[in-house]
Amino acid sequence: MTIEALAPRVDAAISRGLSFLNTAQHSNGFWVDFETVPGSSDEWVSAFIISHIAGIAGSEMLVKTALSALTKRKRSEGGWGFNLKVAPDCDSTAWVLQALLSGPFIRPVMTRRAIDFLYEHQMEDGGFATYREYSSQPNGNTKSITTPNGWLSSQVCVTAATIIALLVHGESPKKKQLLDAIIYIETNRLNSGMWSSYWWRGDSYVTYLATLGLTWANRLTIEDISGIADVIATNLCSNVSSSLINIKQEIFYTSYSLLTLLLSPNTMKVRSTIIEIIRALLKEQLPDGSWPSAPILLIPESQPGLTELIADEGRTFTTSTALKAISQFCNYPSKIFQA
Amino acid sequence: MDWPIPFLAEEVWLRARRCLMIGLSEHDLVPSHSRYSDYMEVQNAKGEKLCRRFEHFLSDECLLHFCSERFLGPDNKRFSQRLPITLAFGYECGYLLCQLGGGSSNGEKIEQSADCAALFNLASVLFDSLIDRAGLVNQIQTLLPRDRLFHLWSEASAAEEFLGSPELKSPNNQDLRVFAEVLAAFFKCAHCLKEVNSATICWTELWDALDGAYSAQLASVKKELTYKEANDIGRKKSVAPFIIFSILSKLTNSDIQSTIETNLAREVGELIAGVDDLVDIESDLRLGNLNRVLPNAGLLGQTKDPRAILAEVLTKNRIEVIAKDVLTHFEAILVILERNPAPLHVRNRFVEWMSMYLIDWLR
Repeated sequence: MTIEALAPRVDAAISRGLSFLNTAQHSNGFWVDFETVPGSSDEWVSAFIISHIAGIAGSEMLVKTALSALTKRKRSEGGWGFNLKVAPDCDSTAWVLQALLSGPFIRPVMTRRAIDFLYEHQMEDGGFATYREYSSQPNGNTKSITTPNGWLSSQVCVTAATIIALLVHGESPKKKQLLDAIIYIETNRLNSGMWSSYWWRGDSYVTYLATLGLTWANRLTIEDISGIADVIATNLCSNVSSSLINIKQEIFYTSYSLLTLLLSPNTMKVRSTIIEIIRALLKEQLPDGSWPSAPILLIPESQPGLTELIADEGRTFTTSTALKAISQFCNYPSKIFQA
Repeated sequence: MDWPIPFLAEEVWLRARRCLMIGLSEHDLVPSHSRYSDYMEVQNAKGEKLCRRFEHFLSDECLLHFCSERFLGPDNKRFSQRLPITLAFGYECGYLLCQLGGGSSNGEKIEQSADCAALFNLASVLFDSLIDRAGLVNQIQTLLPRDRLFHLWSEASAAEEFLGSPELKSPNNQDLRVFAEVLAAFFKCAHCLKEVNSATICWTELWDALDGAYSAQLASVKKELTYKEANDIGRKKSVAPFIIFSILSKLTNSDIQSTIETNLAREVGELIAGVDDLVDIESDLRLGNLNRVLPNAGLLGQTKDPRAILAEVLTKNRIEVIAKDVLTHFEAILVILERNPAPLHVRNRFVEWMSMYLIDWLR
């Protein structure tokens, strides 16, 4: 299939994906997914989806409705959470801050307090923790969360999402707190050049966020970014059977790999991998416009010594990620990939 | 006023929008939501078409950067989402000024002038972003000293030479590269218009306006300015693009004596300077940018704490003063349009364009 032949199929896939999200959006404006013991997530999931689909033509009304629902859920501490039953957390709030960028009439008090809320989660090592040791409950009581240490300590995936949220809201990368967070991310880079995640299986989600955050903070050169893209392309190409044929199990992670590759599609190898992924994503889209889900989210120590692995059974989370990756591909004129 | 800073910022944000909306409503200039949405949808579609057309002005290497999320760093999302509207705004303004100036009846020439206005508007937004947010003022001054700007204006062949500048060779200066290619495209387009109307007076006016815009942009990043200086620079910076749009429209016109578009452009620029200041008070305070509503604008963050500045904005009615100024310019525009000999539907289209974009900025 030529690149030209791909273009209308890509447009149609985006349109069907948005149509699926339209159907999946609840009447109160939220998307709900990831069933866990304290219930499914609406705030975090909706903020994540808005951040991924905002800017795609045709998403305007979905984004507006969800944003309106989210802004009504802001807690007294200034943040948002997994859902109303759970204390607000840094990661959910970081995604909400990114989502707020897409909406009209976002009042400054909301963003200012959310930014302050994020900084309250910064640890001594510079990283950001998901939860603070003391988080108030929705009923107004403040009590200690009896949560595992990992939930209360710095995590690269949470820190990377937070850095991006702070940067897009005008915080300077030279500001001491933000710089500490950037250094934390740099320090925790693996020898492979990637990053590993606490809350997610695989490294592609966190690698994309860390690469983007460091790039925006002027900490990575184009050679560095191309190097990361090259490693990803090599990994994907070297094991076609596990990555591209079994893509059904990997839509979420493959989409994030695609987003990282699209940060620097400078070599033929990267460009051809991008095209392969796009073809695979088009092939795997389900008739209702969604993409298949898979167990992607880790809940470490959900019970002592046990890590749960759960899927977005509603497929909203994965679908929004695939949509973002495909629409980012569409930003490039086809001649780039023809060459 | 001993309120917490977020509440002060909230009140400033609300008051600025309230003052402008009340003023616009009094002039019957607030469209219904559906009319506004329809209008902006059409503008967005126009902008999308311009994006596709202008892609050809950029080299493949430059496009690779321009299309990636790396471009303009954390401003990328905001910029990408606004790109079609940024282009459509310049295009529509350029197009309408041509029609109001009784310019060429040759649609192709009008479109060429409007394209030029769209490219200039994009270059201007990029320039702003590069010096305000990315802090690349020194790199810009090295890449584009005043004599190189003059050269670009005076020689049609200078654009290609400019793109070979050593400052643009570094692979890590890609944001600058995009700006340079957009600027070069603007100059190539402007030189084509010069061929339509070789009137020296218009072409010289263009240099004066470009030079003024350039100086005002660079002056706006200086930190130590008196309030009067800050005020003057803020106005010049906002007015300059519209003066340039009006000169571009004149280049399609054989009647170079016409001053109507220039006066109109100046008033539009003054109005937009005020609106810009009003809608960005909170972010300008946070980021240390020039804003006439803020006292001691050029010395922000050094002389007073944010709470004192916001309190002064509220207690001394600084928002109301600028909002009144904005509406005075709006009224002046309506008077100029009344005297304009262009058909009524063209004049109405100009008022519609302006009010729709004002509402868009308030959002």
